[in-house]
Amino acid sequence: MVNITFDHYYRYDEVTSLLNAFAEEYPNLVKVESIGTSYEGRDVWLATVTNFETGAPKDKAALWVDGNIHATEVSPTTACFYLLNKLTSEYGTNDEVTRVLDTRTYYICPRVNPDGAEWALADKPKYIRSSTRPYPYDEDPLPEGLTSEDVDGDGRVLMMRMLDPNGQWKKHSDEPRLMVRRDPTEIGGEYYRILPEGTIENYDGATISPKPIKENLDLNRNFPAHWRQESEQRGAGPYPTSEPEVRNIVDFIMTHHNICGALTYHTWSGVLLRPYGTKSDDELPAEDLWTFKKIGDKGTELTNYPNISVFHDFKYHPKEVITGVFDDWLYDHYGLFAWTVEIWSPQRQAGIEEYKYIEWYREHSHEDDMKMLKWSDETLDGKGYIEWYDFEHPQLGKVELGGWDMMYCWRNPPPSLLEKEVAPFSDWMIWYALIFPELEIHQVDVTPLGGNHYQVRMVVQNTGWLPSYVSKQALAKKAVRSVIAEIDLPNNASLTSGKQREHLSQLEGRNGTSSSATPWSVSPATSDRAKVEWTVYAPEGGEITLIARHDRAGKVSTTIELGN
Amino acid sequence: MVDVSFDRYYRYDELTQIIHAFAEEYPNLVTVESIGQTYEGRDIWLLTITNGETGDASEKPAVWVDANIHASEVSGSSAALHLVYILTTQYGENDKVTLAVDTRTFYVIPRISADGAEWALADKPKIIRSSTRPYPYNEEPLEGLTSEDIDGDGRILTMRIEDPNGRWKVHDENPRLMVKREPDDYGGTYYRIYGEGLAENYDGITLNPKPIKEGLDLNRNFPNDWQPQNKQFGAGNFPLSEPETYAFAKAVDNRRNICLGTAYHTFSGVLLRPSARKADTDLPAEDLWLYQEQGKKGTEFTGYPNISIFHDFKYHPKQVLYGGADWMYEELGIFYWAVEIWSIQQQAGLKDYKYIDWYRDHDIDDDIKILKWCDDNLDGEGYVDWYEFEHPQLGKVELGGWDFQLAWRNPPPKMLEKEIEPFADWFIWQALSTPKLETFKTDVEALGNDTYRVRFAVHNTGYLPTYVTKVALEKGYVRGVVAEIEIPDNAELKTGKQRVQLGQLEGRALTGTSATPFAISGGANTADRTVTEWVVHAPTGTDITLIAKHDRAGTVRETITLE
Repeated sequence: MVNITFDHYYRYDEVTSLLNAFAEEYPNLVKVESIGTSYEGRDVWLATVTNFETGAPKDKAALWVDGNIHATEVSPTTACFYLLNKLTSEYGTNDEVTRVLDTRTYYICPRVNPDGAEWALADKPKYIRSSTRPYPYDEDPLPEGLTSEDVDGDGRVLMMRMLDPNGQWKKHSDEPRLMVRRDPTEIGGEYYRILPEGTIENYDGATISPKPIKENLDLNRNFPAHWRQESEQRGAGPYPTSEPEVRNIVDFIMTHHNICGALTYHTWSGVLLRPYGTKSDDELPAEDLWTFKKIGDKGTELTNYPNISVFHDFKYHPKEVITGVFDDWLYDHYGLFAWTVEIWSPQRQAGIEEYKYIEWYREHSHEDDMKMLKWSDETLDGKGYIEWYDFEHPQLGKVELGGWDMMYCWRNPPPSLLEKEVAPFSDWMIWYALIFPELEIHQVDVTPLGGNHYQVRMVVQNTGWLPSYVSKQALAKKAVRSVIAEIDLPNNASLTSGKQREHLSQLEGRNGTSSSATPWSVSPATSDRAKVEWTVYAPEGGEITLIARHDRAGKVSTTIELGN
Repeated sequence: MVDVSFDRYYRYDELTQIIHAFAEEYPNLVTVESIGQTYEGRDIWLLTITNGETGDASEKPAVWVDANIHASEVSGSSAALHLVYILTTQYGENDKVTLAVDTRTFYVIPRISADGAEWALADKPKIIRSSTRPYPYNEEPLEGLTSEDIDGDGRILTMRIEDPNGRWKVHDENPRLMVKREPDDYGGTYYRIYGEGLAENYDGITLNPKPIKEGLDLNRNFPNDWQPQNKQFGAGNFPLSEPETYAFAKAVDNRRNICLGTAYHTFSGVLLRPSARKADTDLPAEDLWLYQEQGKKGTEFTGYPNISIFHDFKYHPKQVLYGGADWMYEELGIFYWAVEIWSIQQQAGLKDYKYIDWYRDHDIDDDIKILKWCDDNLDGEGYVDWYEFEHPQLGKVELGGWDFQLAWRNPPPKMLEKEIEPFADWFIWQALSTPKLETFKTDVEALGNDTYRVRFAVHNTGYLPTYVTKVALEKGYVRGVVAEIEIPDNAELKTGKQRVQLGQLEGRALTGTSATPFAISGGANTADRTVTEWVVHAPTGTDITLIAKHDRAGTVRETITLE
């Protein structure tokens, strides 16, 4: 067993040594490689997980799983490791795990953005969105404004409140720790201004703006689909895949056509997000939407996270869309059912149900806040919401520090709750890989025709739930070739009819099957199969090899002896 | 005290007298001016209410209230007067009123369509839509059914006549009530029902309403997406073609401090907001959220539901009409409401009905409830028992049924005060939510050699941002804060310009419910403040004046001494 625990966030060196430990411990199941380097030159590690004895990784349908493209979203790395650990440690004992590694491949990239994560996990952390590359300007911001950082040396970045007659916040009447907004026409009370904990450079005594950040890339706006430049999409980068971290992923996926599905772990909100971010469900092919929802419903069943469309239910602002993101790219260009999982919802932890993921921040009931405080007090031993305490601020004078510790209990699960939160996803990822198309040989017949002629017939089938092409979108984008069958002949043999390489059809899966066998739903009955026939002239007999392969559904082959 | 009561409707001369009485009684709080004349030459009065001692009306953020643009919707005038009454009589008594009148301005136009209202309130009333100007044709219509009191009782009711092909019949259980004939209903006693009036040039067979000579609808004469008569009935000859709407538009444009406004109409018992032509999803989200917040508060005060015209108040599901509210919001970026005073349905206890659809289709039980309410509360005057009358053209008819003007169009006088009373609180709330420019701090630092650095910081202490709405920003209708420095002749400005543009200031609006991590991050933490500085060369002891002004958020002045 690899010595790994899930109550701790790992820095880069630990991530590297853990991955290598898995590869050493499970040489038949795990291979680790670097798919490129980060901006600062760190290797971006990828674990390929499958039973190498049952076939090469590329000859099996594969699931891509990554995490931590955003610097501070470190629990995604944990979720990737949890999956890796489950697949390896339960191989041979858990039937589903065994089956999935025998027949499918996983590509797991636990830390896409090691540079940014390293800053987030430093002893004196610095929080940025993604990459540490200066962007859009390679210059230090002038020393002016508020830098969000730990000012009292306790390792936390909390909030600062100070009395201000024009403040927008006030103490809640029943729960003075809680800061709530002032009513529109309210005057004469005790009001506060609240700022993120931090220091202020060149303070003019009146206005405080956040100090501009030098590193403004958002790697998840740098993917090719619907990419828009900086003026329209902040953090986009100078051109699609301009950033090495993104380029690494895109190059790998583009050269591994066996990838049938993908998932990227983010934080936070406790939701399973699917494309599009930019358009309504009405604009997806109906069959793809149905399938997306079925996969999502399974995810919800296993993880309790709702599955939703970004466009309909997860826009940060109702009038704005975000573009250049991973999941839209993979679905729009290649027709993969790609998911973005936002790990962790502090609200749901506190027992708040049926809330709107984004709107809640703007508008919710104070009962919700009370529930959250109670949760912080009881479950987190008060470490989530900190009692306000006096602090002599170097620029602002007397302030109070306190309120929510965002990094501790909003951005990621607190370490003690981490394992419980990420564990259920592995089951979904196993289920997901098992629905991928799988090409198998249904039957092979050789019929002697006399005169050293043989009729060779091969029937292949898709035994997976998804069709070989995976989605209608993939067909529409011509992103996936149909099944190819090949025949290798023995010496001195030749083909009398048929070609050495035959293009067969796509093979349907079972995903379009209706709930029950109503008259409408029973045909066509064998669209999961395709047949190819050759007539071989083989005066000396010998062995022929039949191969069937499909970019996504895998590769199979068989060898038969021509009868005498 | 001003002699005003809210249990009757005032005609123009009385209204004029009351308006001026307020100005005489409260000279520090109320001024009256005419913003223009109606078609017939009546002055359209505008009252400005603010404490003159705390600053000019134009230098404080303002709330606007107008009423009675539609001739017969006279309860709006009463409601507007009631606001004036509360602001003046409660000043010094009620803290919120005092604060609002000290720091904000109210503009109130109690009666826009003074000519039309005069007809509606005449002893022998004549009901038209808006203005008395002939339109679209300046000629007398020749034939058809007039709408007027024909038996001299001062009411305009309905007339019923037995007719085998009539579409109405007497309700089984409540014979006063007339209900529609069912599709398969034959062989009974049926009636034709007309509005009370005379049948001019009657041919004995066909009787259509006599075309109205005064076919204007002033609330279709505003510039925003104005459409001509063939598209919008009553549109006028061109946008703002009518003296009443032109005066209105000019008055609004001259008062750049208006942040929120309301037009009083009748009837339906609802608070209507834009858009009339597009779905809520097509409004800037921030504007919608704030509109919804204002509406929620209005509903809390008044019990009237707050709804979008587009979604819940189209007269016909396929028809879009544009009015003043759309112009005020969509062109000028003012949060503007149309209040439809009075709903007899709500009075009778109907719940959750659809404001417009109801007329087309509802349960007869609703009629019975309304009838009972009229009997219990209006001494039977809301629904008049049918009585015989010898009609000069139609012969024997019965007069009776609903007294529309008394019970539907406006609150019956004795119920008027109760109905309009809650609105003042909503407008005071609106006023106190407006942006308010104030000085945050001034400081002077002596640099030596009679040179001083002057720093001037101002902030918005109101709730709304200085620009009020995103639409105002998009339309470029509202300028940012402007700061100026005034120095005497013997002084010299070394750095900085005399007038500087400082941009818009945010308010407290759109603050998240509680201080969650998302709600405190992002954007400037002091977006309510702005600061500018100058270097001045002047002898010690020189007084200089600093001014900061914003069209909507008001003006502040500071005099400081260089030393």
